[in-house]
Amino acid sequence: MILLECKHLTKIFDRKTVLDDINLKIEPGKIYGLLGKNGAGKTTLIKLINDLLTPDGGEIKFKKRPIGVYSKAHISYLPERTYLDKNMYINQAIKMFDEFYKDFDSERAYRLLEDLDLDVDSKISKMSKGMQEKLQLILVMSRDADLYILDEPLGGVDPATRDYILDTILSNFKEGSSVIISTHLIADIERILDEVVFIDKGKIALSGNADKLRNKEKASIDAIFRRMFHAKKVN
Amino acid sequence: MLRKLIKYDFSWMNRNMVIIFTITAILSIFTRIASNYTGSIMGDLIFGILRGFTIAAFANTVINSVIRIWERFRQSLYKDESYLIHTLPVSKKKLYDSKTISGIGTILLSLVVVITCFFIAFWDNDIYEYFRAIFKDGDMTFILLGILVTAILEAVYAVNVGIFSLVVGYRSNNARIVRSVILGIFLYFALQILLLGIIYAIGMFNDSIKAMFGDTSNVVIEFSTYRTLIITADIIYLIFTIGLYFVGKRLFANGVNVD
Repeated sequence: MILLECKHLTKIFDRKTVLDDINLKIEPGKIYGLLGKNGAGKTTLIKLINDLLTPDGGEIKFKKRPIGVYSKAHISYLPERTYLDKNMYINQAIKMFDEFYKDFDSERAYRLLEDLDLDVDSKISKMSKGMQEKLQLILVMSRDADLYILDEPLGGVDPATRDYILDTILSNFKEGSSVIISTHLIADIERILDEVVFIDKGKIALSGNADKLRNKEKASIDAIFRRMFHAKKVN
Repeated sequence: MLRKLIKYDFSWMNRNMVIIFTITAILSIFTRIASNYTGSIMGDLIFGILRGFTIAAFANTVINSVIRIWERFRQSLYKDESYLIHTLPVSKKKLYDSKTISGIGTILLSLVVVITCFFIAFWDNDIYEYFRAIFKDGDMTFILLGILVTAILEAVYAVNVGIFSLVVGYRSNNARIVRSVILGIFLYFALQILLLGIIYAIGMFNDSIKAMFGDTSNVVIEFSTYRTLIITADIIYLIFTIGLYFVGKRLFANGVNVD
């Protein structure tokens, strides 16, 4: 069974093709790493799947249905930016998610907030950017979705927070559902990936099972990535 | 779902408007108080200043509410917040309807505030007698209510023009806001010119209206002329508002490209 399928997906901005004939299938129950350098087209692909951009060619289907109300009810999406109304309070944001998403588990959200020592009566605008991002992660992971799409969840955070984010993702996503994690920080997430999709210059450069790739190339996914894109390791 | 969306949109649009409503109301009350102390140079001066501020506050209330409606549309459907709003399990048509209905509600609320504050600030026996006379005369009542309806339709049209222009402007990949503003100004004034042209055309068959386009100093304008003018303006505003609403909604439902 295919959860999500992109067929010949193309996106053009100002005559520049940023995604070129992407064909991708996402199966249930797996964690996918959408890997690529900055500007490779990862976020564009994710925005297309989430109906934030309109494709110039091709199609996207979620459980054989075009992207729309149904897919949005079953896909939980964490964007790379803070998207909550800053004038809201945490409990208002939880209430909003609870009102709109049938699969939202408010008890889980409150429990995760408690773990973070976050006061539900705090105003979002008074929280640091890091805490706002954690709040968003909690809201997204408190849904029992079929597919979680997390765009650069580890970008710009310290190692301790990275661990917190990965733990939150791993311990909260619904069994049998899939996760797509977009990142260029491969070493941090390599251990949790079942499948990898390398994107470069708007095209899928390589995709497949993470273990098989490691065995075939006799190297880690991070090393394969660096070799493929001739990136120098920076310590 | 639509009701839930309207709740969030309406509260966002009016969150800051409450401050503007309060300022307008306070100015109206002060104007009212100052009107009791006219007759001296200082009293007249204070009343004159407060009256000026109050009238400016009325205009500010309406203009601000229109701007808030446009800003809500832009912020929640094309900026950061759009990443949440577009991923809610709601159709794009419902998102559009929610903004439009909340916008019309906001405009009506600000008009109610302005009219209420007008009465607070300026209601006196003369105005009472004036309105009494108007409401005794069916024709005059029609003209007064007709002008009120035209003003509401004008404001609703302005809201729709802004929303439509944002939808069209944000279909491009660059200079989106500039394109939206230019299109909005063009559409707004295009309708005024078209309206004038239609009234002129009606004037070809109606001497009373035709006379308005010439020297009006010796012309007695009949009630039927006012009625024709008001009804024509209302129909044109309605047609254009509804037309823009449906075209804008269709364009929006075809897909967006958020920032």
